[in-house]
Amino acid sequence: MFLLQHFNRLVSRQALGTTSSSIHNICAANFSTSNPAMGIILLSRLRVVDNSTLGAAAAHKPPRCIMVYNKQRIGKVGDKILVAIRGQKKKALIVGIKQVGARMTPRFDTNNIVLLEDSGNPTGTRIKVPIPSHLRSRKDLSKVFAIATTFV
Amino acid sequence: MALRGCFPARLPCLIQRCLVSKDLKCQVCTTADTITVAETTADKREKHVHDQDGSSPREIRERFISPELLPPMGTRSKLLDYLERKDCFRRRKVLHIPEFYVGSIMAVTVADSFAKGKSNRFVGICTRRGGVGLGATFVLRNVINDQGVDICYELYSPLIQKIEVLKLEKRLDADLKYLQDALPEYSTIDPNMVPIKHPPNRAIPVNPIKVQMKPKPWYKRWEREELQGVDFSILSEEKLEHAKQWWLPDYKRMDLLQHWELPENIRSGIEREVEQHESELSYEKSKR
Repeated sequence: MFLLQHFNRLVSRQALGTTSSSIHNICAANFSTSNPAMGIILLSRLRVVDNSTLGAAAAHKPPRCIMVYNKQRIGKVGDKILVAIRGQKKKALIVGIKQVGARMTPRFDTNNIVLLEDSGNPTGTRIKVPIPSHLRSRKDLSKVFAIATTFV
Repeated sequence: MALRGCFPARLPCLIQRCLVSKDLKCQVCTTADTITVAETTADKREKHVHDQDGSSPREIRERFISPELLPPMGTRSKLLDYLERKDCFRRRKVLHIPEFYVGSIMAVTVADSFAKGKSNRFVGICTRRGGVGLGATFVLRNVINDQGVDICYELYSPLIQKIEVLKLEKRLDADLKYLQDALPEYSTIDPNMVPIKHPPNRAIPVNPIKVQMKPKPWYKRWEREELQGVDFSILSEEKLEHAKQWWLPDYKRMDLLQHWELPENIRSGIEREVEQHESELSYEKSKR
């Protein structure tokens, strides 16, 4: 229904003879490709929030996402990813993104990750920043939440 | 069938979408942004100044009506609005929803099955309000352990257990989304803050604070918005002058649609509904 309206609007604008800039505005208004509007994609820069030495060493050069382990290849909170950090490949868990998610769930100012070993255990021993509370429904990630300090 | 079932619930949302699509788009920003910009223009400023002046102790304020109860501009179903308002009042009988504004400091307790006490409390500054009727929302922001967090709450969500206002005040702008690009000290609030009581019938104070911004990149080019509560001293004067091109043009400021207000008969009808709701509440209290 919405698409139909959108199409009608476009047609009516063209029929009225409005300039191309207004049409461009309509097209541009519906989606944004700016960094805060997107989830974690290939080569997104991330911030390590646990206290692992590897994460601390990579402070001056942020780790980048090189793979998202889901079907859409767009990472949201709770997805596992592969990151390039200090010339190494490491698995990581997304624990907070800039993108606005569902209602009553937090939105963070940075894209946060926690480094994981291949076995699924966290590399660090402490997470300083708050972690979204709704993630706690995931039983397989309980080892990560055991080292977290605050939940929002 | 599933689609049919969800249709009435989504109706207000669809109507809003239609409204947005009908409006002409401003050159730079979407219609929603245009409205917020218009609200921060001179007229609103005068209103704020008036608020500040009228803080004499015996001043009696107008009756506060929560903005989600007032229908926005456009052709809307009056019946649907009425029914939705009734549902709002039914929820308000169970949950006390206090008066608050953008800029107030609030605490929200939400049911959370994974938390220790089965509930989670979040304290923050209210940065924006939106939505009509049962879909009304507000966003709280706080900085916890040097990490900025925004949470968008639904005002009438059944998960909300308690809403408290810790400090009742207004800011110079109608939308404080720019706080995410401001220095963290402006949105850091102590979670154990003691509530500051606001004397009844006193005008709401306006906080004239001007926030300092972080260096760019920002979420948006905020200097292009007509913001009152931001100190852009980190930008050069040349750039600020250039950004003024994107401010609301004069012909739009004179547009009568920008100065649209709810018709008096509809507003008084809603006022009567609110009055009736309040009297019912006080009657129930006295019965107990």
